[in-house]
Amino acid sequence: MRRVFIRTAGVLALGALALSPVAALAQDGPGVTKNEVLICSYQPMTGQVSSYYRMGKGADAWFKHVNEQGGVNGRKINFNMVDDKYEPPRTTSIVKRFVERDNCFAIVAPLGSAPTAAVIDYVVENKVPLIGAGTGADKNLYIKSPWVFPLYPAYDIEGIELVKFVKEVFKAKKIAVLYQNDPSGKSHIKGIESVLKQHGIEMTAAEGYEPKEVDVSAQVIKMKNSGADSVICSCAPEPAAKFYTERAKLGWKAPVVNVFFGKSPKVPELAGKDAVEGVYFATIFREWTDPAPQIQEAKNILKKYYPEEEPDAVHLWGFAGAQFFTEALKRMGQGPITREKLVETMEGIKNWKGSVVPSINIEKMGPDDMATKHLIVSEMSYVVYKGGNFAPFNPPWVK
Amino acid sequence: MHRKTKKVGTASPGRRVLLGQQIISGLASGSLYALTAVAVVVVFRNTRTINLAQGDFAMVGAFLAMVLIKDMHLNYYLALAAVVVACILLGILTERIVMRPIADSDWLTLFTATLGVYYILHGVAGWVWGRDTKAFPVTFDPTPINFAGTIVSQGHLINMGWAIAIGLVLYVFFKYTKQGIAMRAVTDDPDTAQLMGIPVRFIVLLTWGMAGFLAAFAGVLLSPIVYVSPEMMDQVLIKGYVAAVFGGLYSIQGAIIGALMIGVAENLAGGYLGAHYKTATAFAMIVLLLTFRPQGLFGIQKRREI
Repeated sequence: MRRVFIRTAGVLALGALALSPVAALAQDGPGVTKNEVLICSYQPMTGQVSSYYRMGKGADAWFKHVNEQGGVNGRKINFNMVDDKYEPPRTTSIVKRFVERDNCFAIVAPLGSAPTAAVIDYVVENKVPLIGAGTGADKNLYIKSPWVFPLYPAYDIEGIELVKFVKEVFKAKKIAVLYQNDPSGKSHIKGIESVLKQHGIEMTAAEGYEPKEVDVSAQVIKMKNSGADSVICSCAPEPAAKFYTERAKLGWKAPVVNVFFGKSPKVPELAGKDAVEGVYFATIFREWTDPAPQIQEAKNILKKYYPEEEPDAVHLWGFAGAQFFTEALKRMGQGPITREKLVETMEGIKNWKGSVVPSINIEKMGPDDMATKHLIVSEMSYVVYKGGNFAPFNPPWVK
Repeated sequence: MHRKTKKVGTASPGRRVLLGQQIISGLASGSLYALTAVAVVVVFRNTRTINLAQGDFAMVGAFLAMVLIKDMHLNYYLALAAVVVACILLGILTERIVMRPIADSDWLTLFTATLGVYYILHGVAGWVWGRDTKAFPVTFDPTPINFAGTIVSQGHLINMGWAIAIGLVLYVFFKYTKQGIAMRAVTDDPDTAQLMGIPVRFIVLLTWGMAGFLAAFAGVLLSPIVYVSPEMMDQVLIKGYVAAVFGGLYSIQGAIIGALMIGVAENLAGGYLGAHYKTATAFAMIVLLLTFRPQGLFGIQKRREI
């Protein structure tokens, strides 16, 4: 008799819950109310690498714009950025707070390889979506979790892409590679080596450099002498400039493509425009001068909310994740707005051209897949340095 | 990784070109290390001071040259002349303000004082001109000149030419001028030199002025290669110091030969052993040399008890 009573009471209570307005909200995930979605982000607002806070500012400008337009399906986006100074121990405590106290619905457009690597296991364990983090470190991309949507490819994937580029654009048969003697360069080499055979390309020289080296002449001479017909330069801006100077000195004309983190106006500034003329650079985002309406819109939005900011590629990192999240929220309509539904919706975004990224194409992750299926920017874009400017360049496989 | 790469062009002509190219390029770098190495020697042998600020004299010179040429549109040679004067003054000021009051201290105090100057100049340069790397406004015509397959650029030739010219100036100075001979006398025996009526204090001042003179050329000639930043000379200073030790710390010829050898050895190691060995080469050489010949290559080093 007593048992029946308890059961009945339970059923009644559940029924009451289902009928009450609270219950309708309870179907929504943490941080979601009728009027608001709370999302969070850790940023290096101060400290050594505070220039990367531009990523947070880019995302913030976008969300402010969305809110001014009335939000998404009646809900405002509350974008909560907290300063972690790019110090992983701080990131750890901040993210704990995001998840356990603040009930953030998702973490969107946070910055940094080391901070993200420190929290990513905790984040996925708690099933919190991590969207568009600014990092290329292996650990943050090769993770078997559907909750992670990385922003841009790992460096080995870039290596693979660049081999395809030299094959198709330069008709390369023998390549020489100059790489930074650290994990970034080695990841590039790993990617490059993995597809050489498939493309029938021989790597005749792979030369490392130390970032502090006085010059790279020994390496460049050896590369030239190896008989290579094309070059992949896995170089940061300053060493890249040294490479182009040395290449010009030797009168070496082999065409070069440089990795994306070396694409900087510093390169022609340091090496001289002539030395860099005709060099191709990978890039993960379009130029701010690109006439595409999405880029021009982003430029205006940034200018409106952060008028003191000089537009930089890093702002676009923030825009990409923020716009992608907004689109998913839009597609979820009146809900329920849950984390599971968010991931499902994001996995359904195909060939979407509404953001600063030319086209976002998310794949569905199988049980054995890595988060690299979820890349927001999976395709590299390219520019070529011509007549003092980085001009967009479409390789033959892009229509 | 290197094992996997296949060498192409291993036929003898290719090899010869590679060898010649690496040597030429190494000599070009070496002749620039020599400017710093000689300055280290000149200061050390007259003041028992290892001058860690030598590189930063050059760095300040490079920044000045950049400002004079880029912002004030001065002709390259006029700017060079102005920078030479400024760097000599910087050397003299360092002596008068920092080094003279502690001239009688032990070598560690002197060494630490130059470390202080190093940090001060780093800080001031970063504060005045900023910490990011800047371009030097003059680059040499990169059109290469081809000698039997070996390519020599105009930049290489100009740098080597300057280094040789400065070497000749120093030779004439030390051999034939009164001040030069007096400087050598102070090197050999400061006490006797003083007794002979040589103004040792003035000679020491002159020594620091000469360090500034050499730094001006090092800064202006290296700028197109290492670009202009507060840290631009750090690596070069270490190479120059190693070259000075290589030559025995007392010998100018030794320092020059040491610098050229380091430049060439680095490039050969980079070219034949692999780029990873390039940076370590200078240090491996010095360890080997000091093991077998502790007085350096041109060891007139005197065992001066301090």
